[in-house]
Amino acid sequence: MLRTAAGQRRLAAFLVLAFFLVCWIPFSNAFPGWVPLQFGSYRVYQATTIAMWAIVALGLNLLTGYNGQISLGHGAFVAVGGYTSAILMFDHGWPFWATIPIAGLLTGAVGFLVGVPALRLSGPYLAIATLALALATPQILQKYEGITHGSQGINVNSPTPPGFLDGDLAHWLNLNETQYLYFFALLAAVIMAIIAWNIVRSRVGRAFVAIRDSEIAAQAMGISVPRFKTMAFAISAFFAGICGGVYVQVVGFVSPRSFDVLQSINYLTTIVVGGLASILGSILGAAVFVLIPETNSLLDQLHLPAADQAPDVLYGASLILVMIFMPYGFAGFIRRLTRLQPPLVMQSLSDFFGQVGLRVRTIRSNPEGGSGGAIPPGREGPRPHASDGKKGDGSS
Amino acid sequence: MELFLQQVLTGLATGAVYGLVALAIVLIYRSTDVINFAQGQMAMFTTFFAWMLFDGSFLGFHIHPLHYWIAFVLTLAFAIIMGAVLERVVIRPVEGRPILTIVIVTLGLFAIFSGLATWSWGGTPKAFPAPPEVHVTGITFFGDGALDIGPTVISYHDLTIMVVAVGIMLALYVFFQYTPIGLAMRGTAQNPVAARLMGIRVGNMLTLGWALSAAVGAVGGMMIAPLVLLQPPMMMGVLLYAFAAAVLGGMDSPPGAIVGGLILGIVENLVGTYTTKEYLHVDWFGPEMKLTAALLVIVLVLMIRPTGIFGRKSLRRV
Amino acid sequence: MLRVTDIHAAYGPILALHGVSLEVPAGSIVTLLGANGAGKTTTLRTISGLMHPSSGTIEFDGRRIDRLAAERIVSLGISHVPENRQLFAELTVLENLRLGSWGRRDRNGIRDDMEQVFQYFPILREREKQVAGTLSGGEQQMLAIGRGLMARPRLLILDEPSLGLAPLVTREIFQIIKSINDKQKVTILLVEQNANLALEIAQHGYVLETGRVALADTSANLQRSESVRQSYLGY
Repeated sequence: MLRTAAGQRRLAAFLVLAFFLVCWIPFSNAFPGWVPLQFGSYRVYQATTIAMWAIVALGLNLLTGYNGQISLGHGAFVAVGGYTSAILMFDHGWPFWATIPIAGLLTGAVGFLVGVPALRLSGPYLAIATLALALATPQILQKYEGITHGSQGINVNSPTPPGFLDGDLAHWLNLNETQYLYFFALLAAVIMAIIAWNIVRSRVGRAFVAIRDSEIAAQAMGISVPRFKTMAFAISAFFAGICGGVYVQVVGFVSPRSFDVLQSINYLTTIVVGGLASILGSILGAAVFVLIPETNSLLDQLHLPAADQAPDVLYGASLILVMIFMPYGFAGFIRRLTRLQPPLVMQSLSDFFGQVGLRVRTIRSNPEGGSGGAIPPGREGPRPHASDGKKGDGSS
Repeated sequence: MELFLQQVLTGLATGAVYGLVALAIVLIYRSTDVINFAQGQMAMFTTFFAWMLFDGSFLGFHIHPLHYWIAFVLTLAFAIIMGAVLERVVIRPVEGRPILTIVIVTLGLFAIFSGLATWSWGGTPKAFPAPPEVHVTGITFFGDGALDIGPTVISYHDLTIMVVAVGIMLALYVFFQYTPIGLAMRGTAQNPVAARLMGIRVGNMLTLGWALSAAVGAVGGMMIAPLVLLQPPMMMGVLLYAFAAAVLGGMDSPPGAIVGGLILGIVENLVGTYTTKEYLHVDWFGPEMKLTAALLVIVLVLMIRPTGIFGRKSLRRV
Repeated sequence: MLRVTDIHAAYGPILALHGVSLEVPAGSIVTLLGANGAGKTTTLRTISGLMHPSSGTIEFDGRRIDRLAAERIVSLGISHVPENRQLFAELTVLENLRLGSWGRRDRNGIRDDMEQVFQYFPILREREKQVAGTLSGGEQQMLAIGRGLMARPRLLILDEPSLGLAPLVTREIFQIIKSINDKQKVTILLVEQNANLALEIAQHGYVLETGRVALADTSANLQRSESVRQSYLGY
């Protein structure tokens, strides 16, 4: 089934369906009271958060992981999306499901506008400029109260489960509000994940990666670097905007304080820990990020002293340990394990796991012929092992 | 006019602190391409160390409270050791990894230092002394008073900050330009491979870089603590401005970091003063937007000079 | 002085050297020839310690150096002038030279050596305070060699000194290389694509092809050999 593209699509559709069905069990009232066959509302809320976080992580990964532009300001885009949705609902009475695509598109446009000046910047300069954007956002939201209602924020009504999910039809179709919101967020996340996956496998995705690896070479191959770099910003902002819209529905409230700069930095942490340039990595990163505070309750049970400040220290220590042992994130780690898999499985799952390992894999499948005279002078193959430099350049 | 000069002078003082922290950031960035997000918290932590020495409560033991400058020097020594240890223990295992990976490690350090500080010393703000008065040939240096310069007044503390900042800059300049180790560090930052071929232990240079950076950050922390009260989140605002200053001046330029800091300090102050309703009769801008204004300045400058005022566009072989 | 025995070296999964062996007698000039990608630079990098061979041994004066770090190997008397010079582009000529003598304690010796370098390359004295990145290609190569000499090496390894240089400048440099060997008795291992010039000044030569030694002989014999003439000397 994995040999043809059509077969792969069918497999993918099957997996998605199966995924939803499996999710239904613990997240619904099909088996009330049967833990772990039913998650309590705290867990459901956590899962909802993971789904939302995954959406923005997917978008940011497209920009930073696949396209190589570091953004520390995605909180600003989430804010734009969130406020768009809230304002449309509150001030103009739009129904919630209509506001979300609009939020995404508007934020995408804003992303494009940010992407244009970003063309001139790179590396730390771009990172700090986007950080500046995230820093300025709460102040701007506060200042222009005419539109944003200032520091009091905007309250919206979260969507409630439609009538037929009340258990009238069958008791296992019963969903309470929290669970309903979870499926709503899950649906959004799955849709965005599919979109992201398709982008990655398309010409656009390949252009992104080409630009990341060498702008000059990409240009020489006829790829319009400005076009794709701004596109990356726009698409990535679109994702963030959708996340913002979903966030507003789930939380029911938005204010300038909802989007502080730490959030934006956390988004970056999420994708690095999960795995750059990887769909799975974005999702894993979101899950890890939301679940890390769980370790605190673990500690509580161990009755360690001064657990007050443990969260911060623990969080920091975990980050460091993860980066030391999994420098390419969780997805990178999984990728290394799956290198032991037969090539066919690898091929079809490669896009899901991520692009980074692609180069090495290609060379390895071509042991003798790939090297020798084919390596251009002065650049003898991939980066040599000796830790000979802090800068990325490995040519001697 | 007096107000303007006044604000400029005060801005220079806070700007000098931004510049010092920015300098610490640039020192590490130059040699490793890493943005050290933990810089602020490291500085805060070392400032708490100094506070312990002043307070007489070192690690729970009662000691005689130390004189300001003795504690200052001891704190610098502590910072140097701390920076070196951090590089060896935390950064070395991830050297050669993707830059973002190392950046996340610094974020982890950020969290650890925040937690450690709150755990060790609590969250209540503490008073931190400014350098004490010194009388030399009838002129008073430091202390709590202020100096009249023409129509303006500058507090001794602000003056101290500027003098200290300039002093550090000069010391570092001499170190990098005229000592063999400074030369080796500069060479290592530019070309680590060639440095190895000269027999330079690149790892040691990196350790030294972190040690110096921690020391410079410590000075920044000790300079600003009297103004903002010593508490774990003390350096957050400064750190953000410091990043902005480093970028403004050019991430690979130490003088740029100081200049960037000074500019930001002045801009921040001027915007804070001159955008109140008194001066600026518009609704859509005001002193509470001063952070936004400062950041706008950065972005504008970057549009004109994408690598900062003194930054160099690095040529890359294709 | 230098004995390389059957080394294999790889970049990750790519094997670059498949059992290379060579010897550099003390006081001689030995040249390593070959096309691009043949493994010449890789061989040099394993000798100077920038990489380690996966198998085989490298001995310098009878002492094994294949597991030592590059920094250590420099102190043993081997100086590697890398491909593309690898100067400290933002430092001055003088600073580059000074770094070449890093780790040496004998101030007088360093001063003498710098004087010697300026005698070989007078233009460097003129451009003493100039930033290395602004020098011309030939001057940069001279600086790179001078910097290598500042370590007072017993074995000087040169990787493609003629790369990107005009023929006249290349001749000049090669003559200076020869006199470094003559006057100061510095042993030289020279990697070159310009086989003509290299064989003219060397006593022995090795030809590498895809990671293996294809030919090893005195340079006189190599210059006469048909295959070398056709493949590398162009006539």
